[in-house]
Amino acid sequence: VAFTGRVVYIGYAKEPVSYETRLFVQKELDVLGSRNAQLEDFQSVIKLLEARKFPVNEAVSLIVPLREAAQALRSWSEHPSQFKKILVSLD
Amino acid sequence: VNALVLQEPGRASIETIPVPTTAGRGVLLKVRMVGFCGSDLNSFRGLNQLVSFPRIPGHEVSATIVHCEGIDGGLSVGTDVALNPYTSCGKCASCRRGRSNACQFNQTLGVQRDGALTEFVVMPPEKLYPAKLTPKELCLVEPLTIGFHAVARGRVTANGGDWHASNVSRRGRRSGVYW
Repeated sequence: VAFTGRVVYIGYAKEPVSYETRLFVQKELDVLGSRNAQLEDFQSVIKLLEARKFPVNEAVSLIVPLREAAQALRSWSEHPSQFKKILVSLD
Repeated sequence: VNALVLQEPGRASIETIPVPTTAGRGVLLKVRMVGFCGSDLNSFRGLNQLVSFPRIPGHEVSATIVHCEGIDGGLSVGTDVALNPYTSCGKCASCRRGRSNACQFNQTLGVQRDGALTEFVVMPPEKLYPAKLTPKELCLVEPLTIGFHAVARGRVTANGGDWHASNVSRRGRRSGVYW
Protein backbone atom coordinates (compact mmCIF):
# COMPACT_ATOMS: atom_id res chain seq x y z
CA VAL A 1 0.00 0.00 0.00
CA ALA A 2 1.30 3.47 -0.90
CA PHE A 3 2.10 6.10 1.70
CA THR A 4 -1.19 7.87 2.56
CA GLY A 5 -2.95 5.08 0.65
CA ARG A 6 -6.38 3.54 1.19
CA VAL A 7 -7.39 -0.03 2.05
CA VAL A 8 -11.00 -1.18 1.62
CA TYR A 9 -12.21 -4.38 3.30
CA ILE A 10 -15.04 -6.15 1.49
CA GLY A 11 -16.64 -9.42 2.57
CA TYR A 12 -16.41 -11.13 5.94
CA ALA A 13 -13.12 -12.81 6.92
CA LYS A 14 -13.74 -16.21 8.50
CA GLU A 15 -10.69 -15.94 10.79
CA PRO A 16 -9.12 -13.05 12.70
CA VAL A 17 -6.27 -11.33 10.81
CA SER A 18 -3.26 -9.75 12.53
CA TYR A 19 -1.23 -6.81 11.22
CA GLU A 20 1.98 -4.86 11.77
CA THR A 21 0.07 -1.70 12.67
CA ARG A 22 3.30 0.36 12.67
CA LEU A 23 2.82 0.64 8.91
CA PHE A 24 -0.70 2.04 9.33
CA VAL A 25 0.81 4.89 11.32
CA GLN A 26 3.98 5.32 9.30
CA LYS A 27 2.07 5.50 6.02
CA GLU A 28 -0.93 7.25 7.56
CA LEU A 29 -3.27 4.79 5.85
CA ASP A 30 -7.04 5.03 5.57
CA VAL A 31 -8.43 1.59 6.45
CA LEU A 32 -12.09 1.33 5.48
CA GLY A 33 -14.88 -1.23 5.63
CA SER A 34 -17.40 -1.57 2.81
CA ARG A 35 -20.78 -3.15 3.35
CA ASN A 36 -23.76 -3.66 1.05
CA ALA A 37 -24.44 -0.70 -1.29
CA GLN A 38 -26.25 2.59 -1.65
CA LEU A 39 -29.02 3.76 -3.98
CA GLU A 40 -26.46 5.40 -6.29
CA ASP A 41 -24.67 2.08 -6.71
CA PHE A 42 -27.89 0.39 -7.85
CA GLN A 43 -28.52 3.22 -10.30
CA SER A 44 -24.96 3.06 -11.66
CA VAL A 45 -25.02 -0.70 -12.11
CA ILE A 46 -28.41 -0.67 -13.85
CA LYS A 47 -27.05 1.98 -16.22
CA LEU A 48 -23.95 -0.13 -16.91
CA LEU A 49 -26.02 -3.25 -17.61
CA GLU A 50 -28.58 -1.41 -19.74
CA ALA A 51 -25.66 -0.11 -21.84
CA ARG A 52 -24.63 -3.78 -22.31
CA LYS A 53 -21.14 -2.92 -21.05
CA PHE A 54 -20.83 -5.89 -18.71
CA PRO A 55 -20.00 -9.45 -19.91
CA VAL A 56 -23.09 -11.06 -18.38
CA ASN A 57 -22.74 -14.44 -20.09
CA GLU A 58 -19.11 -14.78 -19.00
CA ALA A 59 -20.06 -14.13 -15.39
CA VAL A 60 -22.73 -16.84 -15.22
CA SER A 61 -21.62 -20.47 -15.29
CA LEU A 62 -24.82 -22.34 -14.49
CA ILE A 63 -28.61 -21.82 -14.55
CA VAL A 64 -30.74 -24.45 -12.79
CA PRO A 65 -34.48 -24.79 -12.05
CA LEU A 66 -35.61 -24.49 -8.41
CA ARG A 67 -35.94 -28.27 -8.03
CA GLU A 68 -32.19 -28.59 -8.70
CA ALA A 69 -31.12 -25.66 -6.50
CA ALA A 70 -30.18 -27.75 -3.46
CA GLN A 71 -28.03 -30.02 -5.59
CA ALA A 72 -26.38 -26.98 -7.21
CA LEU A 73 -25.53 -25.66 -3.74
CA ARG A 74 -23.99 -29.00 -2.77
CA SER A 75 -21.97 -29.13 -6.00
CA TRP A 76 -20.74 -25.57 -5.48
CA SER A 77 -19.75 -26.38 -1.90
CA GLU A 78 -17.83 -29.48 -3.01
CA HIS A 79 -16.16 -27.92 -6.06
CA PRO A 80 -16.13 -24.12 -5.55
CA SER A 81 -13.47 -23.46 -8.17
CA GLN A 82 -15.62 -25.02 -10.92
CA PHE A 83 -18.33 -22.35 -10.71
CA LYS A 84 -18.74 -18.65 -11.27
CA LYS A 85 -22.25 -17.25 -10.73
CA ILE A 86 -25.00 -19.84 -10.30
CA LEU A 87 -28.55 -18.66 -11.07
CA VAL A 88 -31.78 -20.40 -10.10
CA SER A 89 -34.71 -20.01 -12.50
CA LEU A 90 -38.20 -19.92 -11.03
CA ASP A 91 -40.09 -19.39 -14.31
CA VAL B 1 -45.65 -22.31 -3.35
CA ASN B 2 -42.21 -23.92 -3.46
CA ALA B 3 -39.14 -22.56 -1.71
CA LEU B 4 -35.54 -23.62 -1.18
CA VAL B 5 -34.98 -23.93 2.58
CA LEU B 6 -31.65 -24.25 4.36
CA GLN B 7 -32.74 -26.49 7.24
CA GLU B 8 -29.36 -26.50 8.94
CA PRO B 9 -25.73 -26.38 7.80
CA GLY B 10 -25.23 -28.86 4.97
CA ARG B 11 -28.93 -29.62 4.48
CA ALA B 12 -31.12 -27.87 1.91
CA SER B 13 -34.49 -28.99 0.56
CA ILE B 14 -37.48 -27.80 -1.44
CA GLU B 15 -40.47 -27.11 0.81
CA THR B 16 -44.01 -25.82 0.36
CA ILE B 17 -44.77 -22.50 2.04
CA PRO B 18 -47.87 -20.24 2.01
CA VAL B 19 -48.25 -17.60 -0.72
CA PRO B 20 -47.25 -14.27 0.90
CA THR B 21 -50.03 -11.76 1.43
CA THR B 22 -49.69 -8.12 0.46
CA ALA B 23 -52.13 -6.72 3.02
CA GLY B 24 -50.61 -3.39 3.95
CA ARG B 25 -47.12 -4.72 3.32
CA GLY B 26 -46.19 -3.77 -0.21
CA VAL B 27 -45.85 -5.09 -3.72
CA LEU B 28 -46.36 -8.73 -4.68
CA LEU B 29 -43.63 -10.00 -6.97
CA LYS B 30 -43.23 -13.14 -9.05
CA VAL B 31 -39.63 -14.17 -8.58
CA ARG B 32 -38.07 -14.97 -11.97
CA MET B 33 -34.46 -15.78 -11.18
CA VAL B 34 -32.16 -15.66 -8.15
CA GLY B 35 -28.37 -15.73 -7.97
CA PHE B 36 -26.45 -17.63 -5.32
CA CYS B 37 -24.08 -15.38 -3.39
CA GLY B 38 -20.92 -16.44 -1.59
CA SER B 39 -22.79 -15.67 1.61
CA ASP B 40 -25.45 -18.24 0.64
CA LEU B 41 -22.66 -20.80 0.23
CA ASN B 42 -21.26 -19.83 3.63
CA SER B 43 -24.73 -20.19 5.15
CA PHE B 44 -25.02 -23.67 3.61
CA ARG B 45 -21.59 -24.54 5.00
CA GLY B 46 -22.44 -23.20 8.47
CA LEU B 47 -19.79 -20.47 8.20
CA ASN B 48 -22.08 -17.41 8.03
CA GLN B 49 -22.30 -16.04 11.55
CA LEU B 50 -25.15 -13.68 10.63
CA VAL B 51 -27.61 -16.38 9.53
CA SER B 52 -30.09 -18.43 11.58
CA PHE B 53 -31.91 -21.64 10.54
CA PRO B 54 -34.21 -22.67 8.99
CA ARG B 55 -33.75 -19.97 6.36
CA ILE B 56 -34.87 -19.38 2.75
CA PRO B 57 -31.75 -17.93 1.07
CA GLY B 58 -31.56 -15.54 -1.88
CA HIS B 59 -30.97 -11.82 -2.18
CA GLU B 60 -29.75 -11.42 -5.79
CA VAL B 61 -33.17 -11.19 -7.37
CA SER B 62 -34.94 -10.70 -10.67
CA ALA B 63 -38.70 -10.32 -10.30
CA THR B 64 -41.84 -9.10 -12.04
CA ILE B 65 -44.57 -7.03 -10.37
CA VAL B 66 -47.85 -8.97 -10.22
CA HIS B 67 -49.84 -6.87 -7.74
CA CYS B 68 -49.29 -3.26 -6.67
CA GLU B 69 -52.81 -1.93 -6.29
CA GLY B 70 -53.04 0.93 -3.82
CA ILE B 71 -49.26 1.36 -3.64
CA ASP B 72 -47.73 4.77 -4.33
CA GLY B 73 -44.53 4.88 -6.33
CA GLY B 74 -45.55 4.82 -9.98
CA LEU B 75 -45.14 1.07 -10.33
CA SER B 76 -47.22 -1.06 -12.66
CA VAL B 77 -48.05 -4.72 -13.09
CA GLY B 78 -45.70 -6.52 -15.48
CA THR B 79 -42.67 -4.35 -14.74
CA ASP B 80 -39.39 -6.20 -14.28
CA VAL B 81 -37.36 -5.13 -11.26
CA ALA B 82 -34.17 -5.70 -9.31
CA LEU B 83 -34.45 -5.64 -5.52
CA ASN B 84 -32.61 -3.83 -2.77
CA PRO B 85 -32.39 -6.66 -0.21
CA TYR B 86 -31.46 -4.57 2.84
CA THR B 87 -33.45 -2.84 5.56
CA SER B 88 -32.56 0.25 7.58
CA CYS B 89 -33.90 1.51 10.89
CA GLY B 90 -33.46 5.23 10.16
CA LYS B 91 -32.29 5.86 13.72
CA CYS B 92 -28.87 4.30 14.28
CA ALA B 93 -25.57 6.16 13.82
CA SER B 94 -25.13 4.86 10.26
CA CYS B 95 -28.65 5.81 9.17
CA ARG B 96 -28.38 9.26 10.74
CA ARG B 97 -25.17 9.83 8.74
CA GLY B 98 -26.86 8.90 5.46
CA ARG B 99 -25.18 5.51 5.32
CA SER B 100 -28.20 3.25 5.71
CA ASN B 101 -26.36 0.50 3.81
CA ALA B 102 -24.43 -0.01 7.06
CA CYS B 103 -27.50 0.11 9.31
CA GLN B 104 -26.74 -1.42 12.69
CA PHE B 105 -30.02 -3.34 12.51
CA ASN B 106 -29.96 -4.25 8.80
CA GLN B 107 -31.75 -7.45 7.86
CA THR B 108 -30.64 -8.77 4.49
CA LEU B 109 -33.00 -11.03 2.54
CA GLY B 110 -31.96 -14.64 3.03
CA VAL B 111 -29.64 -13.89 5.94
CA GLN B 112 -31.41 -12.37 8.96
CA ARG B 113 -34.85 -12.89 7.35
CA ASP B 114 -36.24 -15.22 4.69
CA GLY B 115 -35.07 -14.48 1.17
CA ALA B 116 -36.29 -14.79 -2.39
CA LEU B 117 -35.62 -18.40 -3.38
CA THR B 118 -39.34 -18.94 -3.57
CA GLU B 119 -41.98 -18.25 -6.21
CA PHE B 120 -43.51 -15.06 -4.75
CA VAL B 121 -42.26 -12.37 -2.36
CA VAL B 122 -43.70 -9.11 -1.00
CA MET B 123 -41.46 -6.03 -0.90
CA PRO B 124 -41.89 -2.34 -0.05
CA PRO B 125 -42.09 -0.27 -3.27
CA GLU B 126 -38.99 1.79 -2.41
CA LYS B 127 -36.87 -1.38 -2.52
CA LEU B 128 -37.73 -2.05 -6.19
CA TYR B 129 -35.64 -0.81 -9.11
CA PRO B 130 -37.36 -1.12 -12.51
CA ALA B 131 -34.91 -1.72 -15.34
CA LYS B 132 -34.95 -2.72 -19.00
CA LEU B 133 -32.91 -5.83 -18.36
CA THR B 134 -33.28 -9.59 -18.79
CA PRO B 135 -33.88 -11.78 -15.72
CA LYS B 136 -30.25 -12.91 -15.90
CA GLU B 137 -29.00 -9.32 -15.95
CA LEU B 138 -31.33 -8.24 -13.14
CA CYS B 139 -29.81 -10.94 -10.91
CA LEU B 140 -26.37 -9.40 -11.39
CA VAL B 141 -27.42 -5.92 -10.25
CA GLU B 142 -27.06 -6.48 -6.50
CA PRO B 143 -23.73 -8.37 -6.59
CA LEU B 144 -22.22 -5.71 -8.86
CA THR B 145 -23.33 -2.92 -6.52
CA ILE B 146 -21.10 -4.38 -3.79
CA GLY B 147 -18.02 -3.69 -5.90
CA PHE B 148 -19.29 -0.28 -6.97
CA HIS B 149 -19.79 0.72 -3.35
CA ALA B 150 -16.32 -0.56 -2.35
CA VAL B 151 -14.78 1.46 -5.20
CA ALA B 152 -16.63 4.54 -3.96
CA ARG B 153 -15.42 3.87 -0.42
CA GLY B 154 -11.84 3.71 -1.71
CA ARG B 155 -12.35 6.91 -3.73
CA VAL B 156 -10.89 5.17 -6.79
CA THR B 157 -10.46 7.27 -9.93
CA ALA B 158 -9.73 6.23 -13.50
CA ASN B 159 -6.55 8.30 -13.67
CA GLY B 160 -5.35 7.98 -10.09
CA GLY B 161 -6.05 11.65 -9.58
CA ASP B 162 -7.57 13.49 -6.69
CA TRP B 163 -10.87 11.77 -5.99
CA HIS B 164 -12.05 14.57 -3.80
CA ALA B 165 -11.57 17.23 -6.46
CA SER B 166 -13.09 15.19 -9.27
CA ASN B 167 -16.02 13.68 -7.43
CA VAL B 168 -17.04 15.84 -4.58
CA SER B 169 -19.51 17.75 -6.67
CA ARG B 170 -20.79 14.82 -8.75
CA ARG B 171 -21.22 12.53 -5.75
CA GLY B 172 -21.53 15.30 -3.22
CA ARG B 173 -24.40 13.68 -1.43
CA ARG B 174 -22.26 10.82 -0.32
CA SER B 175 -18.83 12.42 -0.33
CA GLY B 176 -19.18 14.13 3.01
CA VAL B 177 -19.56 10.88 4.87
CA TYR B 178 -16.22 9.46 3.80
CA TRP B 179 -13.90 11.65 5.82
